[in-house]
Amino acid sequence: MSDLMDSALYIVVIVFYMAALAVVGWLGKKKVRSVSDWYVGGFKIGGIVMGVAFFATYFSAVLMIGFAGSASKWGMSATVIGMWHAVAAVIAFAVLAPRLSKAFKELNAMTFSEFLSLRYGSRMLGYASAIIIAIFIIPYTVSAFIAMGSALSTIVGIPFWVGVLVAGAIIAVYVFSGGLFSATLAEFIQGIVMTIAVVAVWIFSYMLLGGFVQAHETMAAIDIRSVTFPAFGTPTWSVIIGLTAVMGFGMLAQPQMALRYATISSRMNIKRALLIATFGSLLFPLAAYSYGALSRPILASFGIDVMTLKDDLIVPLFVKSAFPPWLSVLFLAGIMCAATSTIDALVHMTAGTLTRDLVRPASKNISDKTQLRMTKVISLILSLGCCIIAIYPPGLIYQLTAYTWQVLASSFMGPLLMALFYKGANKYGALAGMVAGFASAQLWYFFLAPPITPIYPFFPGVATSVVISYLVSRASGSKKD
Amino acid sequence: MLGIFELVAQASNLSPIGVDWWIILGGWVPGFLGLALAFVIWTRSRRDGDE
Repeated sequence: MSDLMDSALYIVVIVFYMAALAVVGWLGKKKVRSVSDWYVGGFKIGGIVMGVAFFATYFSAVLMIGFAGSASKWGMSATVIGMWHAVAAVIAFAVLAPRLSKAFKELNAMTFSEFLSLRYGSRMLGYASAIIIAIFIIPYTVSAFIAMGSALSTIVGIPFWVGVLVAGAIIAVYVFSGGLFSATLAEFIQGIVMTIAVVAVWIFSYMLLGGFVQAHETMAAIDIRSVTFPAFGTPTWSVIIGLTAVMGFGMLAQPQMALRYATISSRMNIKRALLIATFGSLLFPLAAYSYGALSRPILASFGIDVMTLKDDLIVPLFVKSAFPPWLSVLFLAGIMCAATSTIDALVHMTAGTLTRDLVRPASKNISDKTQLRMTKVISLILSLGCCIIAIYPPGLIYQLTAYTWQVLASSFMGPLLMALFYKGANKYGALAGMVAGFASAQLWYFFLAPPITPIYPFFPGVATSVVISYLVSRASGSKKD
Repeated sequence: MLGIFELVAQASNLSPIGVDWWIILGGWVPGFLGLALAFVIWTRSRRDGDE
């Protein structure tokens, strides 16, 4: 009877959440009057909203469920990955955002691919980047659907595939209507809810273990490696170092993140967003990785050994076993907010890229209205496609996410940095850097990635992309574009 | 509480809060320094009336 009551409560939360998002979608729809409004919010989005939207996009259920679940096996060393997110947020807003938002406005670019294409005067660059984004953003979107499906199925007690489809329906409701206005407004609300949820679980986990120091003592008693940094060259060391770089610095060249900090309205708003985004980027992952690590001794007290479980199921089981109903409901709300805030950003960006950078150049007489309609239909198809893939998970959440981030960072880091900081950068350098970064990361992934070597593909991929972009631009500097 | 000192004695890298110094110095300190830097940039921009 109690389980039935709990399930009914969870369903009420889901229905309420969908209704709230529908309202946000409707509000956003009223604001969309032009193509620019849909794609970049008309460059009118303020600093506080963008600061929260930034970390709501950055962190998702992928972190709350997938990475936190893996952290229960990695221990407190996983918090190192999270803390560097704050450093990356400072670089994003203090170093990249002022130049990128200025360049976006000057070029009147609406998507990341369009920015590269216009900055370098090369359609080929626009097509190539759009194809890379459209293909390789899929594993990340799928991982967010898996996270939400796992949470809904374990906590609410519905089949996994139903959980995934509920996630798809939620996304379709508001991305379909309002574009970046809806997405950013929803992310603002979602960012606040998910942060409250994660921090509540973090504090509650420490309380369950008797306090801050006592909790670490209990962890150490189970396995001393839970509170120590992994030894050099071990598989866990490789994961911690690799993910610190990929999820921290790799974020700088993720198109969905660049689109967030490129569309702020003024310099003052960038500084406001910087403070909020950095605070969120510190607090949220610190809390998530910590409760992930703390879940091991807590679940052990229920007779559950996390080392025998699949990573992606650990946090949902932790919530189900150890939390009082009010906290489970709050956490479920946080999961839905976190998953949808990221998925909507990915769907919004990919659909926009496909329409504007691939379909529009191919068909010359396409009106703005048709373009907008086409983008919305592609958003819907993309959400459904990713839902279907997520029903049969192709890997662990953190593996799928890390793969996407490595491919995108390796492809775009060179062209992006050269576009902003090197006046002599040209289309030959950018194209060569993109292709070389992409190819080197792929080759490393297939032949030299852990466990063969302890080095993640991110490192050779990004280094190749930056160096080749610079050298080829320099060498071909005399050629007229 | 005493147990933590026994652990510190066993694993020399362990800090008094029961977490490896490498985790604190390699992750927590840079993270909080990043936040401090963000705060400084924000306050300076407010003072300069950056618009």
